[in-house]
Amino acid sequence: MRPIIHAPAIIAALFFLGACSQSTVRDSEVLSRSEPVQFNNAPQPIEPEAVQPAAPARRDMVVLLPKPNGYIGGVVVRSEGSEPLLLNTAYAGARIDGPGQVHALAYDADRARDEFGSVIQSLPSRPANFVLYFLEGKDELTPESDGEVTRIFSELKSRPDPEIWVIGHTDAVGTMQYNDQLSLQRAERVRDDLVSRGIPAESIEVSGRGKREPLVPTSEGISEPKNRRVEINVR
Amino acid sequence: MVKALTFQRDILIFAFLTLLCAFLAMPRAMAADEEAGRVKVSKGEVFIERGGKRIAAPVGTSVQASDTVLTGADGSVGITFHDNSLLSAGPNSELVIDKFVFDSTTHKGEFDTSLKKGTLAVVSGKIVKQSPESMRIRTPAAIMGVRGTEFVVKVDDPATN
Repeated sequence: MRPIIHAPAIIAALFFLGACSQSTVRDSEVLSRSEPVQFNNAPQPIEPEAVQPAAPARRDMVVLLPKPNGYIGGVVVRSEGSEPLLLNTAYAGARIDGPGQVHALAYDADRARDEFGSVIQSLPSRPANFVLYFLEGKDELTPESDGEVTRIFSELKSRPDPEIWVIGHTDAVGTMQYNDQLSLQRAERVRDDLVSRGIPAESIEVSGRGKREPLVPTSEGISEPKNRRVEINVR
Repeated sequence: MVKALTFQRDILIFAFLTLLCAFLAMPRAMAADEEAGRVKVSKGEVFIERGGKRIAAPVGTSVQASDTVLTGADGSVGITFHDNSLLSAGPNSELVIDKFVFDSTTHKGEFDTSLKKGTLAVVSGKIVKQSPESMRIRTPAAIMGVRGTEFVVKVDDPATN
């Protein structure tokens, strides 16, 4: 008896399904603009004109901006068929004319503002950062930190759809697990305090970073008041 | 006998590949419905396409993985994500949030977006601070790996201009 469906057919069908579910727009767009493929068995004369590059299919751009504090990071531009291009100076840019066609460009502040000013203006306000400090081994705020809460309230009022992210931190005394728990307790203590002062609980997110992100780096087991803190991001 | 064995092998391969497909499809389904960020700036026409439906996206709208964010000729939108990444899109833009995964304890995560057309401004957040290049911006011809920075991207398709 002959099997009705063969493995190659099944594999082909699954490949087809896979290709459909993860289709890349890039390929279809590039193909749609290319010349129709001609099937002709006769040898074609080689015409020099045919080798000339066509007008670029695209003109995609990327430009690196300095942060407001002057810091310049980096962006790696990758395109199939070309070497990765690292942009790591202020207003360094790249133009991508199609797959594998990456060209480095030098922008300046004025040109970047002319071309991209409107989209940059639409960025949301940067998250504001506040820090509250805790008494050792407890989830009680230091007296100075109590006053900081007032400033958080005025920041909240200045934003559309304000959200608060409360992040607890500890010093390096104790195990990872102990500090994860303590940092979360500190964050929850601050959340409860903010809720009791009238902030809706659903706009507050809490997390505990444990001892992963000390403000003052120390060796294991060192008690450091500056690391026993809760960070508040208003965004 | 030989044919019967071939048939059995076919069934085994089919079962294996079916399971593989189901497994690959799972994370995508699980990622849906979870808020990745919120619209903080919305001017002119701004829409989100989600599950085949188009909804208006005023300030406060939740943005999820697999959403497509669209702006009209007079539209622009700014979104703050859960890891503090900021994205904005200018007029006539189409931006797909392909993937957003973020662990708020370890700060590990992955953030993939595709700019299909228009303009985009990016300020990277905690995901990139923890693991550079785990945020990626795709354009039709390139992928930008983000190493902690601010930048702008434009997708300009001469065929439609």
